Amino acid sequence: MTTSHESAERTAENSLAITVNGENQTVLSGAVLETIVRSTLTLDDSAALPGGIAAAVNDEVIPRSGWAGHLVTSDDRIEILSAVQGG
Amino acid sequence: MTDFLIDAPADGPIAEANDPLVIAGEEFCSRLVMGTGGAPSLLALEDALIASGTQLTTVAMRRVQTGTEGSVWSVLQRNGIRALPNTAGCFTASEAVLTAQLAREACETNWVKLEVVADDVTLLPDPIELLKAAERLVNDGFVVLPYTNDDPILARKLADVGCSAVMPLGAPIGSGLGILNPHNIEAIAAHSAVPIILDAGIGTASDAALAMELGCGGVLLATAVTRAADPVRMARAMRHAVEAGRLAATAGRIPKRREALASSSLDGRANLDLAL
Repeated sequence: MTTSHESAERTAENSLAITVNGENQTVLSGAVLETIVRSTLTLDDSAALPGGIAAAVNDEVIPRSGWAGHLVTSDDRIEILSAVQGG
Repeated sequence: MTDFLIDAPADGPIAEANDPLVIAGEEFCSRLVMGTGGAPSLLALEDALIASGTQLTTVAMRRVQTGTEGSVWSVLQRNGIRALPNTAGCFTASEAVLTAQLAREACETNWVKLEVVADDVTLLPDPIELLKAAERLVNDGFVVLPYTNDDPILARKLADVGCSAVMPLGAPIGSGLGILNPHNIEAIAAHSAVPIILDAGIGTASDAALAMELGCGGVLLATAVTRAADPVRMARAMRHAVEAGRLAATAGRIPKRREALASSSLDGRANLDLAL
């Protein structure tokens, strides 16, 4: 039987603290950028990713083709942008 | 010069058929570049864009929002309008460069309307950061169209670093004040090796026509249409104004005179003195 303290520690070991569009989030270790994008857009795994969207990790643009293979690491600052009305 | 007018459809291309705007080797039949900010709804925006006849339209890049219905991106896609992403909201060269890189990825275009403003009150361009960002983006392979002040020297420097068009303001963004310094706009257009597109300040159709008459290659406007009481009607007005201004600019206007000059010959008139 584990104590709540031990459980919290285990969760911390398996998770990463990141920011997505300026908001703090905790994700499981091993998460990739595509997971974060889908979660942010509330898309399930089978849904096609819409056009007009781009993502940057720590001020570096990650091409869409690289989202599935880009591992998220602790303290990453992820920005997910889309084209909107303006200008 | 009027042969191509004969078969033009009532609301179709008139002036633009044989006189495209060329930016970085790409031809645009319409010289009206539209912005998409300020529209009350996507539906109203779409109707206005279609009425304007535009082929190039700006979008901004912002953090994604979930649960929004439709998108400006899909509006442009289904109407075959080329997206021109902008860097609106950027205050430094670094922010603008990263935003442009994100836009390139999102919109699959290396064209960018470069905006680097000094503050969010005046919305006036920061010339130093603008020039810095323009140079970096050109070196990164972008086709750069900078929104700039109506300063002929800065316009020249932007062209010199490789910008594909230069877009001086007529008046502050959203002000609708028209062209406050027509002499500078004319000077910029007269000496530029790249197209000049009047960007910002347009309030009504005569402002757009004046921009073209001053020698601009195109006009970029948004809120003059999107915040008009009848956006579709104003979009049509802008379309015709840009076409009329372009025609006038290339038609060789008469010189201005201080005194009247009769248009009817005095030769051969009847001697009616006796009738008085």
